[in-house]
Amino acid sequence: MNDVILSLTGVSKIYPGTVALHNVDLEVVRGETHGIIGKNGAGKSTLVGIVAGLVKPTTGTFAINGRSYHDLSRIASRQERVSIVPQEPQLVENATIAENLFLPDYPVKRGGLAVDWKRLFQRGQEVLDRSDLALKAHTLVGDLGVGLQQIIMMLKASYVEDSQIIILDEAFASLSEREEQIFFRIMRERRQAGCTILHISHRIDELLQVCDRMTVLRDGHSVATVHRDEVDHRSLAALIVGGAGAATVAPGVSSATSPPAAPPAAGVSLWPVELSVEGFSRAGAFRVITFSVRKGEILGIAGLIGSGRTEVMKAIIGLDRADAGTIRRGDSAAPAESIRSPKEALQRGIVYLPEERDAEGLVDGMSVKSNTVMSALKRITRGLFLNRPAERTLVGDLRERLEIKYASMDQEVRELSGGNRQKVVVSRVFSTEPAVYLLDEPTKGIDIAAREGLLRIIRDELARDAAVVMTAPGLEELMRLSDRIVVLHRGELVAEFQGPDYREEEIFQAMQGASRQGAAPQGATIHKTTEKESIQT
Amino acid sequence: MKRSTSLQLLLIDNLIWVLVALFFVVNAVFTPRFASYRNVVNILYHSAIMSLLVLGQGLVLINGKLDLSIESTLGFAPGIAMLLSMRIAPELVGPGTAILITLLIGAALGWFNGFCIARLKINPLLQTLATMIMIRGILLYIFPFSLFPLDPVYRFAGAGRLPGNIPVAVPLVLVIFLILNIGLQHTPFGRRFVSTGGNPRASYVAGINVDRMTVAAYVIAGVLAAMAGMIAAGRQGSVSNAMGEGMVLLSFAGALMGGASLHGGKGTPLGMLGGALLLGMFSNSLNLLGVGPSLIYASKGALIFLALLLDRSRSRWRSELLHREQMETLAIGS
Repeated sequence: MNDVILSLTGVSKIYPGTVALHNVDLEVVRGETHGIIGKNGAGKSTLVGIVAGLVKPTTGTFAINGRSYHDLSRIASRQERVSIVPQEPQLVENATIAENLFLPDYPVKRGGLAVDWKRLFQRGQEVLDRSDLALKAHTLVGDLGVGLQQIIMMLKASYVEDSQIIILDEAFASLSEREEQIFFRIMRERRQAGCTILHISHRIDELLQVCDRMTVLRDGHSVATVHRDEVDHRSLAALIVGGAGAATVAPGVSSATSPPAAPPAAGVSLWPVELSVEGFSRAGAFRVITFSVRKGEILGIAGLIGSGRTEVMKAIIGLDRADAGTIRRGDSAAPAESIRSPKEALQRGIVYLPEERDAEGLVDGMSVKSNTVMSALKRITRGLFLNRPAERTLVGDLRERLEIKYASMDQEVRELSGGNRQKVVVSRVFSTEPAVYLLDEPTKGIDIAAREGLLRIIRDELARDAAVVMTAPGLEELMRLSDRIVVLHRGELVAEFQGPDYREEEIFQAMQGASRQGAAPQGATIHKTTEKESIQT
Repeated sequence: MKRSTSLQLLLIDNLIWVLVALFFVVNAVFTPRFASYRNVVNILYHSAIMSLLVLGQGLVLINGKLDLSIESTLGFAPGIAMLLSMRIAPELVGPGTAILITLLIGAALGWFNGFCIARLKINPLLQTLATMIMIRGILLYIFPFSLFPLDPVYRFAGAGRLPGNIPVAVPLVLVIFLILNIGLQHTPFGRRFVSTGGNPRASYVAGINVDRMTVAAYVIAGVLAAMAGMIAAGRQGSVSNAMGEGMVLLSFAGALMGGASLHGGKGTPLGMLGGALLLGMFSNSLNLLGVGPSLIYASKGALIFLALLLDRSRSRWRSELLHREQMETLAIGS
């Protein structure tokens, strides 16, 4: 390979607590479409972030067009004609399409001071027309859907910045099928024009369809770089998952203490159903989701980014509105739209642990104590007033059971470490003594030791007297903890797996939507939905 | 936690009272007649009206918003009530009813602000600016000549005296502060109120009706402003159309010095009381020292600035202290 446009040599990136990239080498040939694939947290975004000038590597060097760098600013990266289309479109919503396309290099009138608006809109329209989109250049970007915004980003990278290297960082996660086709067409056109494309995705099919070569990342290591002809769906999945391709992981966390009240695995079916949702739908997010979960049971929801995991939970809790379906809590069924706020969900014994810990889970400037009891003030109220001693006892008890470390319960919660902050949120949802926990990525962004502790808490404490529905960044945690796993793919529930002996590769295939093509993995129950197309119309 | 750390924390959390005490002692030594019984009563009396505005503003700040309209409410609410009771329908509106009407008008204006901000999502600054100008304009229209002598019964709250020559307004205001302090610190409502200000999204996810908290903040601020208006009208024996003008900016100064933060979720009513007292003592001592009103005004501006600096450093001191404490705890633990 003599025409290497981009090469990385021994690149590592260490964040406090985690190694995102470990000694990665990579060579990308001019003009190829190079896929980068791996599980969540494998280091994909960090890798391309370095090339795009958004992330500074800890060690290692990389070269673009033969020029060698230790690290790169975004401006320098632009000068090397590298563009990035991130997962969330980064556009100024209150500005027109044309302004966004040319930001920050507006065409100027002679003299160089005044913006040449006429030329700006003219050229903007020319760029739009190349994509066959019936859009006007003076439309406000905020009036477009996320998918179209994403296409604007791609057009900007392709025809305005005229980049040599275009990085697509999960750019497809929020596109409808029609938008995808437009996107693919631009990609093909760019390829013919000699552009190099770095394409990050979770979806194996998509990569096999559009990429010449693929690099597989696993836990920050570059595992392999393969040519499209060398692999098929199954072998690529095996590379991504690792460990001989079919690692069977026994559930149960290593701790020897057995939960006193946890039901025996076979006995779960005798416990009452605490939550069931039927035909649960929300336009553009998920469709006809049906599942139920019993007391003492942990149900894992697996799915790629954009598959609808978070959206389903938020709709159950009343943060988003569902369009159709029913929720059955205990013995009382209700139409899905009847829970209108987290408060109403709480009153029915459903509590939600948000994925965004700091934005949605904690009041930063408030004390640990106040944060902990925030949702359970009724428990510590006597008459009109708070019962302070009862409050301290409750918080102290939770601190011990969840092994939270802090100097004083009057300390502001922002002063705690990430893992302990997360445990404070867990103790808050725990203190409400609900019948159903919805845990959205409870182990996100915390170190390994804290994660082990938290997984134990979920299994031994939370699931003891309640039903637990949870998601996790990786499959490994879900397989260890869940009694059952359901898989969402593009907003539909496509498969269900019964524990405790899961085969990671099968679940992974289902997450890719493999079961829809009839290749039903053994041991999986395939849910039949009336329409098998994707939910987007 | 070590005793010295706890003490330092206590001082940081009640910084305003440390400042009040320091300021008092320094002035007692250097300013003539400052520490006399008469002057202390005088300070309290003159702080009464402002302190209610500071408290109202402080509560709205705790909720994470701000309220410019309280200074207009201060004139508007007693103005309408007095007009009804003394000119339009004296036979229908007795003193009790008039006071009730004053408070109801304050509550209604607060509810209007709160509803627009919480439910219609209007920006608090602009919403309360609109209300402020609107009702000040109506007040100017109704009272073009500004003066309006009041019956003695309405002068009691503002000008009445108790044994010991203590103005009625002083214990009245203290009781209000005490009630709201308990309400905010010792009831579930108070917890929900404070956490809504600290992080509305997280509070909503945690099951709190955050809109109701915002409406409550504005209603309480409106009622307190109306009450301050009653006292002010009683004190001067009249209702004027300029009542309260310019006071809202100083209410920010008092609330911020008293421990509120522009980011919400911080502060206590007793802290606000300290802030209001410091404001009152400040202008009183400058007065006694013979500084002119214009310069006193300028100095109050400097005081606002000081309050902002204090707000920044206070949280930094606090986290540094706790960080050190935590490090020591961990060192002992390992």
